[in-house]
Amino acid sequence: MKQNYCLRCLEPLEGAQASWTALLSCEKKNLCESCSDKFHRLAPPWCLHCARPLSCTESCGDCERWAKTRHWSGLLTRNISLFSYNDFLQELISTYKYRGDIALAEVFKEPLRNFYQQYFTGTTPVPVPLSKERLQERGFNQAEVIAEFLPVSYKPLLVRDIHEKKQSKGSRQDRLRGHVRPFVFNNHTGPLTGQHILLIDDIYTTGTTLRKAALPLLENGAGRVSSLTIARS
Amino acid sequence: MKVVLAIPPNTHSPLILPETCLNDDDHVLAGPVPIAALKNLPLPLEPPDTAPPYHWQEVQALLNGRALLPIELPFGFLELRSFIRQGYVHMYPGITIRRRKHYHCRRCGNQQKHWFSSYKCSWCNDFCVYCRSCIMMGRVTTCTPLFTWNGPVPSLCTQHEVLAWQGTLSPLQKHAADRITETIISSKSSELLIWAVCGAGKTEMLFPGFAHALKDGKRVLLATPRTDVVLELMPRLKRAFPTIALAGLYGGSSDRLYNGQLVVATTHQTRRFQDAFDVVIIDEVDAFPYRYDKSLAYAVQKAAKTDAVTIYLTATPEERLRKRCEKKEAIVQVNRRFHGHPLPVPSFQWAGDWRKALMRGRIILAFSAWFDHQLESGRRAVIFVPSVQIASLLRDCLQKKEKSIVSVHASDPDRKEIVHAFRNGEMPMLVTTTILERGVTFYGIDVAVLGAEDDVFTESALVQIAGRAGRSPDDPHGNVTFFHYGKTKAMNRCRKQILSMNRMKTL
Ligand SMILES: [Zn+2]
Ligand SMILES: [Zn+2]
Ligand SMILES: [Zn+2]
Ligand SMILES: [Zn+2]
Repeated sequence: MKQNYCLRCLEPLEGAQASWTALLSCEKKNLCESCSDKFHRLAPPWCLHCARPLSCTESCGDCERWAKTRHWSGLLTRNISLFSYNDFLQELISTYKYRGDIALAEVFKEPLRNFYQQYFTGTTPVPVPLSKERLQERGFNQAEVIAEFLPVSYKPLLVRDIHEKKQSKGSRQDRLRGHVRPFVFNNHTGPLTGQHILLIDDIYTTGTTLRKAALPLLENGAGRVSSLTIARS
Repeated sequence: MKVVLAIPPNTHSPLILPETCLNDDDHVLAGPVPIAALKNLPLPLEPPDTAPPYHWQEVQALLNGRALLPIELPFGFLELRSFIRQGYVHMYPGITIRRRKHYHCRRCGNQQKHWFSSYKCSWCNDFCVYCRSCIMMGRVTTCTPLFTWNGPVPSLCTQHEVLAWQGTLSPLQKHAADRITETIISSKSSELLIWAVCGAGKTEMLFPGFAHALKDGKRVLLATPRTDVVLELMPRLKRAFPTIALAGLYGGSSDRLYNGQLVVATTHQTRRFQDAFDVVIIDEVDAFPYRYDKSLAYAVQKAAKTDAVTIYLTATPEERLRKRCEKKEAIVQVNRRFHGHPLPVPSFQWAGDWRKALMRGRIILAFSAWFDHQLESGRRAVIFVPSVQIASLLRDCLQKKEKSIVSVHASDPDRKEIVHAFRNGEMPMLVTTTILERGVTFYGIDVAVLGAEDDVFTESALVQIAGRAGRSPDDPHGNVTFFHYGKTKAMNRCRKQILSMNRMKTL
């Protein structure tokens, strides 16, 4: 039998363990128990608009605020994230994204497909693009790798013009206020005709980037724009 | 990046050039392709006889004795254009492909299929393969070259006296130190195994040999498995060799590209070196988990010059190494601690199905009695357990008896603070997984293992664990107790090894 290894810690997966889980969940196992226990999976009750964990499913304060802001209301129909952004996931995503250990993305495959089928069937996935400079530096687009896992093929409908700054810099207010337009609609087959677009990205922080990405899509004929992200911070 | 194999005009030998460094009148033989796809790789050219480009000393200091990725350069690789074209800087593939799908990482030596992965690469618009084994040092892919220096080697700087340390060695330490010095001075490409018990005072034994090598301008590498050890050694070496350029390399250290004559590095960091050192010391050579063995050997071999001297330091030599060195009589035993007292011998204590009991929130009587006794007598202790899960279960149980007990494990974010707090005497006992088995020194403690029969406790791990006790000359007789659910070979061998060390005649 071929030996399987935990994708994250490279420890061999025990045969007995693997078959147990296989029996219970039909999932192909690619993480050891101790690694997979460290994920905090998101599920209802949560915010209907951004998947923030809540005591009952409704709209959270942040999303209410978005809805009341003139420039930003109505841009993003819904965001769903797979996991909350705990220390473990932060380390995992940074190894994936900044160190460039692309194989790690594989651990998101199953849950991503499940969430797509459960909440977003029929939508057209569009990965959030990187600027040319960032793509050159990193050698791959982390959102695109994830989008490859979906059961339908994605469309590269956006390009990023402005070299993005580090998300973590600047206060929340600064990030929300900036009215720069980093994304441009880019489609060879012309404008959209009312499709529901699903933006794919790694992290939902304030939702600003995703809303900025939604804008050119809506202006070019998209009916609605939602997003599916790995982590909810 | 993509590369070409080309012959510049008026020259005869083919060169590997980045596609972007190609001139119009170069004669292209192959490419542009990802570097791993090139067949018939040219050897580095003879050191060039043309005048080197401006600022060449800087590039020499950066790349001599190293092999760096484009992203590891402190500038864009295009700055190296004339160096590469003249042959001062040589490029070779980070990953080579031997047969179909048989990859070999040239930086870390990884050849295991499952530690490679492929992805759609934006650097060359192709599907590239990268090495997961050394990913923490930046991604090596089938399209990334490694840059090395191929120009003149920097001349050696000799000094008169370099050793400022004035301590004295015990007769046993001196004997080992003399052998080390002899090995360093006399023969080339030789090896020596120093088999020294935990607490023998290994570092001081190295000083005279280091002094000899450094005086002659030789470069010395001390490779160790742990960052903790690098941090502990740096100030001691700085005091011992104040005039020597010293670099401490570990993940996240700022000395990363600093060209030390004496380098203390975690074994991961040694991977950036190539043909750099005349003397290589491998500390705790047994500390590496089985799967890293090959990778370590590769890294060290790559960092060392072909005629370098290799010295292994260990308390628990692996059999193959021991036999190899015995045959050459290249082995020195230091079987007494620097304070002259024998090693504490572990006692075995039956603990029944302690695991089952613990799962139900109970501690087996034998262990509980030991614990109470420690508390009453005020003897501090470190308790080793087989896993993180057991560590937290046991901690929860023990906290009912004594609130201040904590547990610690390898990826614990508070690890440093906890170890520090224990050292400061803020708690009488500490529960730990095997991370503290070596390197970290506590004075005047006892040691217990709960679950000594577990597979993680190999012979060498147990010898190391026992070696934590009785380190202080003021309190040289620590107690070591192995609580078990069935004696294992490893436990018996560990005991035998310690007994035979203690029986051996001292000088
Ligand atoms: Zn794992
Ligand atoms: Zn919300
Ligand atoms: Zn590698
Ligand atoms: Zn590539």
